[in-house]
Amino acid sequence: MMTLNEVSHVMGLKAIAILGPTKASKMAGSVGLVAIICALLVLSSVTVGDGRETGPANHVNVTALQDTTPPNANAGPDKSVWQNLQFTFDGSLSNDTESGIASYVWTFVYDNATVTLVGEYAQFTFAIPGIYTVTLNVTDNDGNWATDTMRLTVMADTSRPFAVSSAPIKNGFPGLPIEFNASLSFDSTGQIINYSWSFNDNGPHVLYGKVAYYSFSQIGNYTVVLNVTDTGLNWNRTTIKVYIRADTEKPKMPKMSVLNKTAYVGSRVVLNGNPTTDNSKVIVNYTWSFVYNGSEVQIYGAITGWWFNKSGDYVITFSATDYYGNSNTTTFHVKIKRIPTFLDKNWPWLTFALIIIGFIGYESVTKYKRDHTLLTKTDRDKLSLEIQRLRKIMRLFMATRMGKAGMIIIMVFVAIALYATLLLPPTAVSPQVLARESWQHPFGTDQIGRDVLIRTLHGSVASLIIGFVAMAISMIIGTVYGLASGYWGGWRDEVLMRINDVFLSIPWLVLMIVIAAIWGSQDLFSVIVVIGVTGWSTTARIVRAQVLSLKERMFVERAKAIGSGEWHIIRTHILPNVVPLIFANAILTIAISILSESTLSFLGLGPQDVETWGRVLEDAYAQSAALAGPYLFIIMPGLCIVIVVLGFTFIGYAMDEVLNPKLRKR
Amino acid sequence: MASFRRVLGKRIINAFVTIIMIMILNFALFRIMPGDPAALMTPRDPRVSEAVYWRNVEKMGLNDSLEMQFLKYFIETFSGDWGTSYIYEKPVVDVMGNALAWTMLLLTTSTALTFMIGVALGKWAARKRGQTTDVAITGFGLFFYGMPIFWFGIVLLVIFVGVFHLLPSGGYMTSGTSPFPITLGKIGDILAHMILPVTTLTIGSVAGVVLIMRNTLVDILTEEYIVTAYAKGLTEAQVMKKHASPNANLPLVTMIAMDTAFILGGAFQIEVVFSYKGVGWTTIDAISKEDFPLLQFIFFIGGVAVVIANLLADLILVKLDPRVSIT
Repeated sequence: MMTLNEVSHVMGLKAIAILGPTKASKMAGSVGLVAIICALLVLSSVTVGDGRETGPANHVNVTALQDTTPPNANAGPDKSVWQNLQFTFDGSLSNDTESGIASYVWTFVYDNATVTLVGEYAQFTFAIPGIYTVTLNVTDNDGNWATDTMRLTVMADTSRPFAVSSAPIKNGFPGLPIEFNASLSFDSTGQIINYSWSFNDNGPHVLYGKVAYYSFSQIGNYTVVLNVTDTGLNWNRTTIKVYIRADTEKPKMPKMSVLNKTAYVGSRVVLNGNPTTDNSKVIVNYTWSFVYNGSEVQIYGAITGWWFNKSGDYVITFSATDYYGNSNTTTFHVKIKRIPTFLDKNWPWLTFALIIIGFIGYESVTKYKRDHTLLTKTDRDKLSLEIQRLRKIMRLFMATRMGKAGMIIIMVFVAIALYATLLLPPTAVSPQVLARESWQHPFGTDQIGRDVLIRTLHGSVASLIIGFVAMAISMIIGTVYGLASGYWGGWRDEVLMRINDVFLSIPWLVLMIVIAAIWGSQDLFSVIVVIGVTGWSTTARIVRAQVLSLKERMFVERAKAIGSGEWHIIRTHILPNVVPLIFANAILTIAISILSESTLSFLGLGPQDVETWGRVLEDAYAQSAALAGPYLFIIMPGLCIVIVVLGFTFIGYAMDEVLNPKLRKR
Repeated sequence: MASFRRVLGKRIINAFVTIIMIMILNFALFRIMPGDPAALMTPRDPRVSEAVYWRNVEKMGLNDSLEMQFLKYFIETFSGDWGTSYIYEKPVVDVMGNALAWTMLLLTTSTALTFMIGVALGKWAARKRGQTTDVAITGFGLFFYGMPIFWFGIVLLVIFVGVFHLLPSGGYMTSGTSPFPITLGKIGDILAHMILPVTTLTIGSVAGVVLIMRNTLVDILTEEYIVTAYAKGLTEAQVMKKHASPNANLPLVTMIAMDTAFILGGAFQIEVVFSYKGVGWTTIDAISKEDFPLLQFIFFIGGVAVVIANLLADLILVKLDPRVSIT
């Protein structure tokens, strides 16, 4: 292999040595091709063969690809150009199939001398008109070369250009730049190569360019001369009259209706002076002044703003001054309104609902009074016994320390929730973000400047609603399920209890998370349903156990014996005996539901449409309030949860003690 | 003994049935979700989605009948093929194996502490029933019982990390290090990272144990046989040890089993608060990144764990209490 390789190499070199570079390139078709084929053959055999053996051979292969083909020279088509304009020679159409082009040389005779230019794109400015023959010599990287010629006609430009200004008369003000535009000037032969503007107000002054800016410092009438020159160095001129006058005109203020604003407390009102116009187009000062919180406020700027944290009608004086000191003033109103509360927004409905409730209440009271006269003595005794029993339970309940404390806690929170719903407006955004506690914000502010105290107060509503409604759902499902399972018994009980086992077994948080994630929309309703649907299994167990023992009792047997229907037995004998048992359980379920909501919210799966304590905590944790400083942001909502849950737990325990007297001996 | 064996058999069968039903629920939940289950199991990554989607259609057998799909899922679950997490791009078992180890470390430590402290405090409160000690212990118990555990974790974080800078703030060990090979310094690091989560979890769940222990003991201590024991001339310590405690242990064991799910839930929250990368943290992460194969596995394993805990508790109960009759 080595020998063949060497042979091909030597053959190529020999060809060049014998015939010389010029002739060798002419023979490219034969010898060069043979050399290339040989080289390729060797290359392929090397590649196919054992690479380790032929390692050094690879180096030789590269030199074997000797370029002997001359490049293809192309100077481009014949062209014509105006005198005095720079012309670019274009040799880019030339090419070389092998090693690439190394140099481009352009030669021609100009003004009785030979001019040589180098480069693919060579440039030259011809001042003398005439026809030039230009030769391009192209050389490739292996020294092969080729030539090509082109004809260049340089045309003489003898006609004069036309100088035209965009406006022959200009008006302006002292000190402000005026635009002079000559782009309408033209030349019928050749091109305009120079524009010059002559000003004579403060001695002669010349500016160049198609567009020029000039400011006259004094009032007066001036003449500006525009001079244009074309490629044949022919020129022309025109004059522009400029009248500089003093500006006495005031800025034009925007209309009051444009400036007037209405906003809610706690918002930043944007003051926008941009609609103001002026004949000189330059307004140097915008001033906004008004009385805020008993003191005069002045702010500046075309666009500025002010945080209004107090309601009221603010009269704002707005003045604008132009470059020459002419100023104008206008006044407008910014009305800052109280944020509407639930009551503000819904009072017609609430009034309507109250009237309806009042009517129904009145009707039922009159109906009860009428019926009462018809009651028999036994019925009346039964009723009074029932009332006595309830009174006794209530008395016993309130006698326990836990019951009393729980009742007070829950009543306080219900009052807070009512107050927050009806009278407390939603908290406004303020510029103080994540502030520490202060008199203005007792619990500090959150990440967008809302008051944490107000958020916490609002959170009580949803937390209580979630607690009660989720409890109701859990209790209804649990009771029905437990009743069915316990009363039917047998295989149906077995199946129902196995399903119940599943719900008891799956970690409630995981189930809740999965359902919430599946559900997708995280609003109050879906969160309530998720909590309610996952919280019934314990209740079902308790109810079932109670039903199983009640079913065997004598009074149920007797009821069956006298032919009572199943539904009647469940309703009148079993359910009333189950209720006291699940009553305490229900109260505890409220507590658990509130806890569940806070956990879901903390994990980012809480309701997104209402404020809850869990959401406040989520925000606090996300903002790392834990480590940053506004500690009350994280502590207070959590403390509220703890206290409410404690309240319900107290009531639940006290109820359990009162309703299930077996335990009362403690 | 024969009845014990029968009870054991029934319990095991029940547990098995429950696990099967958890699987059915698990199967159904991820199929009643709105949208295409195969699309749900496909990462939202345009580079891989097309191929992975069709592989999932194939794997989930969405072209088969529903029964065939379940059968396939059933066989795969029992043969250990639980799918591939697409955030970690490894089998979910591998992902959860590591997380599970850390969660178990957290849970076993805190559960052991919970029961030691809880039983002791419950006994103390019951002995001093009606006195200030009892009221204080019960009050604290109720307070911590109704406390969102994650909130308590954050409060501890505020105190020990935010204010005093005493303890590391998160993770199961200093980030960037690996527990292997084990050195003394690393064990110290792991322990330092465990202090806050374990404390939170223990205090959060000790309340339940204290309350149940106290209430049961108070009930027992008013029973006639206790009075008899005192009448025999036994000391208070003897009565507690021989007569009261054995009976009080029974509801406690039931409670452990019932609470397994609750404790797991607590561990979830704590892991999120302290960025402790165990099962809970991974779950929340999986939810936010919509890693459904991982979620499905966690759902399954969580349920099975609780079923097994309940089964164990039942068996212990049967062993402890000869009277127990199972309905």
